[in-house]
Order: sequence, then C-alpha cells, then structure tokens
Amino acid sequence: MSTPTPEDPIVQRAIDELRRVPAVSDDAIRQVVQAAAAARLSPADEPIERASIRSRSIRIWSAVGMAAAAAIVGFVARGAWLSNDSTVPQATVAAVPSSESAVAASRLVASKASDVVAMPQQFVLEITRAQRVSLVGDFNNWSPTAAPMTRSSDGGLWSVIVPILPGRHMYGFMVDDSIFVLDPRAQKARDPDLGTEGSVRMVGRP
Amino acid sequence: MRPTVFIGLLGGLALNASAQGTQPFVPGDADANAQLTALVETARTNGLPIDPIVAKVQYGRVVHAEPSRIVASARAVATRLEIARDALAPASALDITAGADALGSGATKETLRAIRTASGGQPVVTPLAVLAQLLSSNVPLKKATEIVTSFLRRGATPEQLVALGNNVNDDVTHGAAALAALDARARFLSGVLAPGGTSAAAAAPGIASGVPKKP
Repeated sequence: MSTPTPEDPIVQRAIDELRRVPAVSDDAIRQVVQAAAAARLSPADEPIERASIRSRSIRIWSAVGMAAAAAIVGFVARGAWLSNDSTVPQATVAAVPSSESAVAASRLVASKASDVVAMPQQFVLEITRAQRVSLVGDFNNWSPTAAPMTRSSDGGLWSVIVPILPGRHMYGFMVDDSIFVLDPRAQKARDPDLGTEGSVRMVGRP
Repeated sequence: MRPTVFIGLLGGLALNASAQGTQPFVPGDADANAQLTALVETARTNGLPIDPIVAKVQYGRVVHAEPSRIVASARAVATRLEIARDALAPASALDITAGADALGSGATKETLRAIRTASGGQPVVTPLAVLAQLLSSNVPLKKATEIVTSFLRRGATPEQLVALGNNVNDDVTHGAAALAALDARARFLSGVLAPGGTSAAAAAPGIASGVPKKP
C-alpha cells in the first residue's frame, strides 16, 4: 500500500475539504452534548466515582478517538456524497429518510476515482469599482458566499482558485452581492430554461 | 454513553454543519417552495442526482427569475435527468448530469445512447460535455454526434476532446462558420490519433461517416 503524499490529488482534495468545513457553533456543540447525555443507554455508561484514574483516562482517550473517528467518518461520507452528486450542495430540502437515500444511491453506478477528482481551476475578473466579488456557478450551487475572490495588490484584479469536477460548467461573478457579471474572457452559453447567458468552463478529466 | 451513539451524533453534526437544511428555495414564495421541495424529493427517491436541480433553482435566483419560471426550469432539468439516466444506464451521477446538460443543448436520447455505446464502458462526462459545447457553438447535432463518437472509438483522450471543443468554440466566437471550424479542428485531431499515414484528406471521410478507424 502506497503512502499518500501532499502532492497526491486525493490528499489535496481532502485538505481542501477540511479547510471548507464550517466552524461549529457553541450552541450546536451544546445540543449534541445534551442529546448524547439523553441518549445514555445503560448503567455502564454512567460515570462511576469508584472507577480508577486509569480507566477514566482510557474513557477520555476513547472519546477523543471516537471523536476523531466520527470526524473522519463524517468527512469521508461527505466526500463520497459530494463526489456522487457532482457539486457542493449549499441548499437542500428536508432530509429524506436514509432508507430512501440508500435506495436512490444504489441506483447510481459509482464513478471511477479518476473521474470524480476535482481539478483546481483559477478564475480571474478585472474590475476596479467593487468592494466584494465572488465566483458563482453550478459547481457551488451559485452561492455568493462559497467562493469569495481576492483582490490583487493594485486593486483591479480579483481571483480565486476552486476545485471543480470534470464537465461543462456555467458560472459568473457576483459583484457587491447583487450584480451578476459574466466572464469577459470565457465562452458563453445560453441557459435553455431561463434564457439567460452564462460563462462556460470546460474541465477535463485528470 | 455508548460509543456508537457518540459517533453517530458527531458524524451527523459534521454532515449537517455543511448543509443548510432549512434554507428555502425561493424565500417568500411558499407555493414555489412546496413544488420545488416535492420535485427534489421525488428526484432523489427516483435515484436522480439532485444537485443539478438545486443549482438551477439557485441560478434562477441569481438572475432574478420569477418563481414560476424557476419552478418550470427545475422541472425541465428533472425531466432531462430522467431521460439521461435511462439513455446512459448504467451511469454515474456525473454522467447523468452531463447527459442532462447535453439534452438541454439540443442532444437527443439517441445521441446519448450512441455516445454511451462508443465510450466502451468508460465515463461519458467529457464526451457529453464536448457534445454540448459543440452544439452551443452551432454545430449541427448529426455532425457533432458523428465527430464525438468517431473520436471516442479511435481512442481520443478527454483532454483531446476538450481541446477540440474549446478550439471550435474559439473559432466560432472569432467569426468562423461552425462546420468549417469543426472540420479544420477535427482534421488536426484525426492526424494526431493516426500518425504516420493518415492524411487530413483521408481522415476526414472516416470521421464524417462515423466509421471507426483503429489508431
């Protein structure tokens, strides 16, 4: 079994994914802890004062290990989910029962690993009179907060690098949270349903 | 607390932290939201990828489309996803999404089937993306399908196909006629795929007829 290196695209993708995991609020943590306490299932789970320091240590370290495992499980599950669904879901509806999700997933054929590796893509927009610019496209569900762009030192060039799965993608730029701007350097295509024009980026398989 | 419970809770937290589970599709329009929610849930239950539907809704919001137009667009995407899944089966979510995009650009179910057959079991994301791009560049469907399936059979790589589509699009953008641009660019790729003997003139008929030539 080979050891992954930082240059490995899978490892890089994992790093990118971890960087994108949003901060968890204190409220959320509190809710989880309360739910966990309520879910205590057996006396064996009750804290026992007579327990030795050693056993407590083991329990603490077990919990840390479990937390790490849970994070990894969550990350892997999320990664697999995103890979199958091709883009990052920013808005979803109420959860579908897991059994239905499983049925739905079973009807899809798993893609080959090389086919679902997101490729880093750079986007650049030259615009001087803007306070904020973000990249929006079908790869980030057109979310203005998903890919904020960075202004160059001279202030006129905005850029961002995002990983995008193979395929033909429509995108544009959101300027100051309200103005949708096409990429003057890119191909254009008309949306067949809304009749509007978008910029197009082709991303090939690695 | 049992470890499994703890893992489950934290795992759920990790997943839910990145999903905005309660965000409405179209704020302020309960009817549109209800229709879109039902549409997405049906698509998910039917084994279709839902991201293209959600993306279409979000795109509609970005361009300030009317809620009724957004709902109709999302419904159209769902229909195309279903057609693509049937035509490409067995297919990955990416394949289905690319198929739906190609259908939206003017491809047909038969076209998708032809590309699936020509791909020999390989993923069809890139060939379908290039097909959609050629169609958007005003290349007629029959010609675009022949070119893509022919080059697939001849072993063109995804990168070569993407370059073909990009070059044709650039030519058309700069004023070239779509068919002329396609012929010129296909001739070059044909020469690359059949080095040492296949001249441009000899390669072109093979492409046009869709008859595969071994590299």
